[in-house]
Amino acid sequence: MMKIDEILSRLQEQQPNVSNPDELTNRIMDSLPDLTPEQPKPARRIRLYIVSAIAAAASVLLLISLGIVSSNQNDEGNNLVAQTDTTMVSPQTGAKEVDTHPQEKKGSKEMADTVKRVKEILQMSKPPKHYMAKAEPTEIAQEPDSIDETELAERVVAEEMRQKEMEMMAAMNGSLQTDFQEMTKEIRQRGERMTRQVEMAINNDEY
Amino acid sequence: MIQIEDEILTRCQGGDKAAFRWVVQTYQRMLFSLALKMLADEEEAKDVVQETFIRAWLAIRNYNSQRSFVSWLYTIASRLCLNRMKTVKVSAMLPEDLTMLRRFASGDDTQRKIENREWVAIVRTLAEGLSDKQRLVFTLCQLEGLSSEEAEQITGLDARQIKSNLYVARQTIRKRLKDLGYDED
Repeated sequence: MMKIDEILSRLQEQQPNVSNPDELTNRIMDSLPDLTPEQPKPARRIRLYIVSAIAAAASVLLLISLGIVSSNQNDEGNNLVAQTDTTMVSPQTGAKEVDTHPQEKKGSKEMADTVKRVKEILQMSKPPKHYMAKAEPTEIAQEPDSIDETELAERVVAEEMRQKEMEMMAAMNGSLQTDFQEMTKEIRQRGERMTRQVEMAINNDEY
Repeated sequence: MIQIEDEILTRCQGGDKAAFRWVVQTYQRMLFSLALKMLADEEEAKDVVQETFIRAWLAIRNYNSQRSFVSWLYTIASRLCLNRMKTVKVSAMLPEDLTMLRRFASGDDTQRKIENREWVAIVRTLAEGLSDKQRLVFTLCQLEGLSSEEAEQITGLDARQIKSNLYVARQTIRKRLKDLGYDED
């Protein structure tokens, strides 16, 4: 009977045989796929990935830039629409212009909100009711030969307000951080001041 | 260990299947031996050999010629064996395995070649209870006759881990043989 070390050393001396080596060889060779043309080496592949990533980032930046430019252009378009809307106080434009709201269709939600706020500002900065009542087209139609000075004053006030509103819209389009409250207050004060001056001028003329 | 020639390797890297056939014929027995001793199943061992060569073929362009080609093949085969052992448990020792071990260890005919079924029975008996790593290190160092450095390269274990795994495996197998009635020196 062998000793333990003899058993272990005898096991080391021998190796199992493949029962049918040719069959195994053929089986292996048949299962080998064809090697594809040489792939780029990992380092080269990494470089390609980096270049691709840079190109993608540049494309994204370009798209963002184009988007900003396009947005600015749209803002300018909306500005014009907003100006059209502000002419409603002018008695010359008629009632039809007052009812149009095209800027809400064009602008984004943000722009629509801005326009809404501008409308509120305009409402707040409208001249006193007695002027507005005189400014209504129906009344103008009924009294075509009403006081010219009043009409003139209204035009001056409306022109002044329109100018201020245009400035305000330009400021809004330029920067969303504009303080609308201050602008509103200023416009209202100027409007009121101008109205008072005109009233005084009319009164002086009358007396 | 048989060393592959640079020319054969270059041809293989160029996609020459005839050159790779030479590689398969040269190394399939070596890999089959490792796989059979690890898995104790002839068909499983053949599957592992086939898979090893397929992987070697697909990765041969990335093969670092500074490294031993044999160690590289052993590394692939070892990992495949360990993976297979996780999914398919090596079958437990059977009663007839002990009979085969006794016949082998009787010492009547020391020149007799050990058949594959005897190999299966012997490794099933001796390696029962070893962890997968202990089994791998024991197979590489004790049964395949590789050096500790080669085993380090193949398994990825450091020298201390190789030494400790080999020590535990040897002690376990010695105890088993002693329990079966075999004497130490």
